[in-house]
Amino acid sequence: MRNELEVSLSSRLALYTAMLVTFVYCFFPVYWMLVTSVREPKVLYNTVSLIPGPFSLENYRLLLAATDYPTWFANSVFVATVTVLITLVFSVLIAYSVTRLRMRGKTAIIGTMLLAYMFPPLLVAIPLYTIFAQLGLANTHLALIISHCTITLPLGVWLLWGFFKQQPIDVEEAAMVDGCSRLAAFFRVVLPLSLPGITTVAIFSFLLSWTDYTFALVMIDSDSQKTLPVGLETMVGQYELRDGELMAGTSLIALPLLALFIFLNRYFIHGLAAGAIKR
Amino acid sequence: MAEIVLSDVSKLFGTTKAVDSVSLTVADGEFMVFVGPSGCGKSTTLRMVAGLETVTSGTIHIGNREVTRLQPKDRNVAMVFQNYALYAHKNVYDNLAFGLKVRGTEKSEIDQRVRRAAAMLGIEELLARKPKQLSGGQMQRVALGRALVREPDAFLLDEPLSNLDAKMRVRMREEIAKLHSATGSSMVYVTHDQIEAMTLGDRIAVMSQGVVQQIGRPLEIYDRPANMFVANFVGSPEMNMVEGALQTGDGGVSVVCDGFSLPLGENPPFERPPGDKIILGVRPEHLALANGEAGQISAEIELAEQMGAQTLLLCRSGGSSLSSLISRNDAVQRGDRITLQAAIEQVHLFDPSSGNSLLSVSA
Repeated sequence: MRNELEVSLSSRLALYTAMLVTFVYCFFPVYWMLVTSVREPKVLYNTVSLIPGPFSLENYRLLLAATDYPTWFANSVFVATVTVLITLVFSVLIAYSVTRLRMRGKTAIIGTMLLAYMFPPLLVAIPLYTIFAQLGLANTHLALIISHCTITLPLGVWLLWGFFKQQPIDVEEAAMVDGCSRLAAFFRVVLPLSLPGITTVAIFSFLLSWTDYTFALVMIDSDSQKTLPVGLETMVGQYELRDGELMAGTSLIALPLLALFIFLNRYFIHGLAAGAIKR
Repeated sequence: MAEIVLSDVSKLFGTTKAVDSVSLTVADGEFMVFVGPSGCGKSTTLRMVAGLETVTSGTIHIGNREVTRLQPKDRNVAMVFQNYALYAHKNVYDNLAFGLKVRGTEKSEIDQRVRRAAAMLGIEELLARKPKQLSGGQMQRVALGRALVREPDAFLLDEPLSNLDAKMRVRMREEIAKLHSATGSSMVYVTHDQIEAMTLGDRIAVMSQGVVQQIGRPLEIYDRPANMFVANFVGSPEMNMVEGALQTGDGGVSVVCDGFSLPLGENPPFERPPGDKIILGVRPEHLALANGEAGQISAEIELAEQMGAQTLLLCRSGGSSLSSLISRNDAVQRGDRITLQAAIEQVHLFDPSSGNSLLSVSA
């Protein structure tokens, strides 16, 4: 008995250690980013300390005064929001029709979608840029939105496909017998029941678009069109380090995501699990 | 309230014929049960009536309207699904009210009808709950209520009890029967359970491989099955089926099987030459223990199953195995030699190649 107890204690200890290491690994960069961003710029390069302070918002003031940060932020919001909207509309429609309608080549559609998702962004970005340049779309937000959709749409379709597949078709049929057209049944019954899945897709596509660096770097040239990740990159000069402002900038990038996660956490987890398990 | 008429209705899935030329009429106010093993086309037939499956050929009328190509919403039927199919995001009240809301019924009218249906089904206290807070029986009540509030031309029920446990199934069966007599609506009920079919149906349509094998009142089907499939499917335990040949002798015609022979009387009600092979069918409950010389079938008991009120004997007579269902008998034992007797009017005879009954069948 004693032996058993010891084993379970040591294995528990190992578990907690692993959890602690993972926690530190995940949260230290975030902590460091936040702490650096609110430290007085003068102190930043003199003393390296894990303890926050001396507290100052100077970095944020400098960031907003000296750079186009508000413009980049607005650009990012616009691009990410439109990407999310396009992704939602199309992935819901595609995933729904693939799961519900009898049609040829269903698995081929899903297969090719997933295949598209597997290409690294850079590989897609360069040929896409050539196409956009020919179409006169180079250096526009539209080009960036379309290229973001090349990733978000396959992911969205794939997630929702799993989600719709496990939803009993009877419920829609019940709605149709109850007096709905197929479309009405979709809006009144399927959509509300799919909220967790749809939220998951919305968060994922927002995340992908919001943090994208590769596509934005390739597609956008002018400062006024830049999104946050590439915008911030211009602050890293050859001869100067602006760590404080950079950290302030990245903190501000992370903020909307954090808010999104906190508000939609419940749906998100549910959606992830629902999409993952095949029944 | 309306009559439902299916004329020559067929359904193809690819090249598979799921439903093959089904023609039947469900009279106004009638309780019709489609019964058969899974894959026999009973659910597909029901779904065609509901409009959830397209009809490959044939027509469907509900009341005086042809509905063959109409959308489900335009057919004014209500359906109850096997897995309840409740709207998980709405509470019970809104589940019941949904069909009326969609059709733009007035609010006060909706409220009145929802409460009336809830009272009929005893679910008034559940109205504020969400479906996931309900038990299986309660969910099925809500599903019934959702159909009830609509006051449709016909109720369609697709295996509504198969997800319930045995006790709840019996209770809900009674409730559905009461509901039918209270509303007087036409109901079409699909089940694979022959006991449900026998107890609920005004008439039963026994289906197999997309074809209606027989339609009739439950006891008609039990007494005079049209073919071997129906004979086997309806009634439990299954009917004894023994191969035999006809023989003419002093006492008239008899059927000779491996191990025994059974006299069929002077003038059996069919025309078959002596020597013809036939299949003899006797229900276990019609094979009784005989007293002494009156017995026709001498057999040995291979297994005696005590089921409480009844005893099921699995016997062997020559090369034929027979089961006999008798009233409780504590004395019988494995290895006992017994004689069994069957009344002529309870014996069934089938053609071995077609499987059809040789006796006249009212269809």
